[in-house]
Amino acid sequence: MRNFWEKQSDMQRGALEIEARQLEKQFGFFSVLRGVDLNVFKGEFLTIFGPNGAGKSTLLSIFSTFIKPSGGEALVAGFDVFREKQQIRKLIGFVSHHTMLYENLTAWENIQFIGAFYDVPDLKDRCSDILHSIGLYSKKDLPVSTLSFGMRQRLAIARTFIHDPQILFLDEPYSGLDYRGASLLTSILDLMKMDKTIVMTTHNIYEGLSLCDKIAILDQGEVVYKSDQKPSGNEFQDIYLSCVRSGDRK
Amino acid sequence: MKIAETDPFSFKEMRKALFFLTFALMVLGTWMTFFYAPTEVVMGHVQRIFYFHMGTVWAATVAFTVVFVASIYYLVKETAKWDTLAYCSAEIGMLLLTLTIITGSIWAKPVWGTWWTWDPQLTTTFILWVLYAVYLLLRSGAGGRGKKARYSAIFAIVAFVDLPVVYISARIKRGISPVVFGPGGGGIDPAMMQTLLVVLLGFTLLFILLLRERIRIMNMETALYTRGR
Amino acid sequence: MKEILLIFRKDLLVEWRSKQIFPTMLIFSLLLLLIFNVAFEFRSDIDFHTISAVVWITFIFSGLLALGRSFSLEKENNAFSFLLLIPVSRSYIYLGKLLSNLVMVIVSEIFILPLFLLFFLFDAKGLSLMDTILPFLGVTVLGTIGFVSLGTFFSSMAVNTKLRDMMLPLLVFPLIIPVIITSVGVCSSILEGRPLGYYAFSLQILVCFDIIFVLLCSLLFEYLIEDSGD
Repeated sequence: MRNFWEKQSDMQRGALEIEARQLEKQFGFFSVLRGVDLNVFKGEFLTIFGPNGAGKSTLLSIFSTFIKPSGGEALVAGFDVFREKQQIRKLIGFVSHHTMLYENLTAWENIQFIGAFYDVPDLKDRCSDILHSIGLYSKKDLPVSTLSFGMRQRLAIARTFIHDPQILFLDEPYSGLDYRGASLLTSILDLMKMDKTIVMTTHNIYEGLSLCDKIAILDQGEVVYKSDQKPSGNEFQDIYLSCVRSGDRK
Repeated sequence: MKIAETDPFSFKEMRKALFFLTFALMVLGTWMTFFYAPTEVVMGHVQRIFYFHMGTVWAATVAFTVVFVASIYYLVKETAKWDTLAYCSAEIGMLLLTLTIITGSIWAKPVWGTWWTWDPQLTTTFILWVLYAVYLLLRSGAGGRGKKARYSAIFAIVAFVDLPVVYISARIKRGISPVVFGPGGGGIDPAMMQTLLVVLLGFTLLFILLLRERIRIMNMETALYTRGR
Repeated sequence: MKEILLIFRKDLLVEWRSKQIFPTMLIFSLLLLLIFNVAFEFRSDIDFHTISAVVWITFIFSGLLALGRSFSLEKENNAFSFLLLIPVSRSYIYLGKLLSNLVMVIVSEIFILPLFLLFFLFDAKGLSLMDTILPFLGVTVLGTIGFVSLGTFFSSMAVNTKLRDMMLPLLVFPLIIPVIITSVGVCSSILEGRPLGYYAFSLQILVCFDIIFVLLCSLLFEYLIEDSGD
């Protein structure tokens, strides 16, 4: 079953962008990931569903080099997450429901501070382009703490694109967003999925399904379902309920 | 299972052998302390507590070194067994060091006329005791097992590097150091030396015995804890 | 190098905008000064060693207060996570934060020091700039490097523990004993007007301490912040 799935993908797609082989992670004596296998090809959009505590965030944290896996291997853009962290960090962007902004700095300073670490040509132009594109250029000199929640969220997402990452990791980006924020995020992601490889975890079935090219369901640290086609909403519900054994594990 | 029962060097047998050897050496050491070693000329009988004092401080030092080495291994390998080793060793080290301080005080009162003095060695011992205490406190307050293990390993490494510096800086103010067996303490009676060596060996074995037992209990705890999941 | 300076600049900018840490540190030091004076019953015959001890207790207490805060600020909105995504060695992040903390603590010490000497020595006439004030400041900088290096390191650990800010002094105080012994000793020797040879050994220990722990901490920082996941 798995071989079939991989072969088909190989024929359809170009290079492998993200690869996990028997990925393991333990926190103390508590397994969070047990033998996760995943492939994402260049330009694909993968949505990972699963109950709370299934290990979705941990998986993304490993791909984005926040944490080290306990076993197995993981490659991002051909680089090993154990040894080639810096190369990976140059290529990825990470969005979570935390804004990760400095409240006391202005919008401009927040963006510029991060941008200065990457070799961005014409950093100033790039910063103002980004602020223009999210309609915050007029507020660029205001401290982030004075911006509304939606603006901050926009800024946080926009900041991720300062170095034009080719791979994006989104960890529950929809949680905490109101309707407007969510639809804005969806439209940004719609645009991004043209030329970027994206992995997203979410509980929002509607957005998760409409954006993605393929899905995976994680439960108790294992991939219990993965499919190259995206199912319809009704199909998905049946699949999810049949795959996921635990809904309320601690 | 069968192999374990018939094998003469199985864990069970080793455990028994270690237990009896430790017991024998500790009894022998105690006997030598009181009846074999001659009475010290200046200090009198109170000097005899020094054998146990040396035994505990030696074993506590070994324990501290074990914590240090196991902590480095944990950071590199991230396997739980190294953390278990470090933690168990720290607990026993804390116990031994407490005994060191108590026996030292008992010895110091009649000899120096005070229970405590801020002599370089005493200062360093005291700080080592505090470091052990903070290490154990850090473990109880760190959070999850992984974080607990990593944080305490880092603290143990920094503490181990720190301790010699503490000793050197404490020596800036010269104190009354208890040179009993070292150079400057004059010639040492061979019987005293033999007693000391037996006691040191006894305490080393006691430390190993306690460490193994503590690790066993810890592993059982872990097994119980994970079975509930 | 560029990265260290970027983080340094950002930290100072955040502090400049929020004005949280620096004024707190300053006022805290002033209060300690008051408490010591009250506790000593405003006596004027306090010896130099006691003055040095009081000065260093104040420096370390107010300094640790600031250090505890510096990582709590990063934890707001998880901003620190974003810093970890930047393709830069973890040691540089540590060194950048160390540098900004050092500047903040040293500047506050420079503000506090004259007041201290004034309140305890009552007249600063006997003190010459070259023989007393500058060496005193030099030792202050060295001692501050010593306790801020460990303080910065462990504050990133303490914010992730359950005890949080309470954990920081517990972790740092026993480790900085050498800094306290040597700094207080050297400072009182300077105030007493002793020659350099008298306290050179202490100074050497202090410098060694600084070098060892800045290196060790920047080396271990990678392990310290690796995951805050559990």
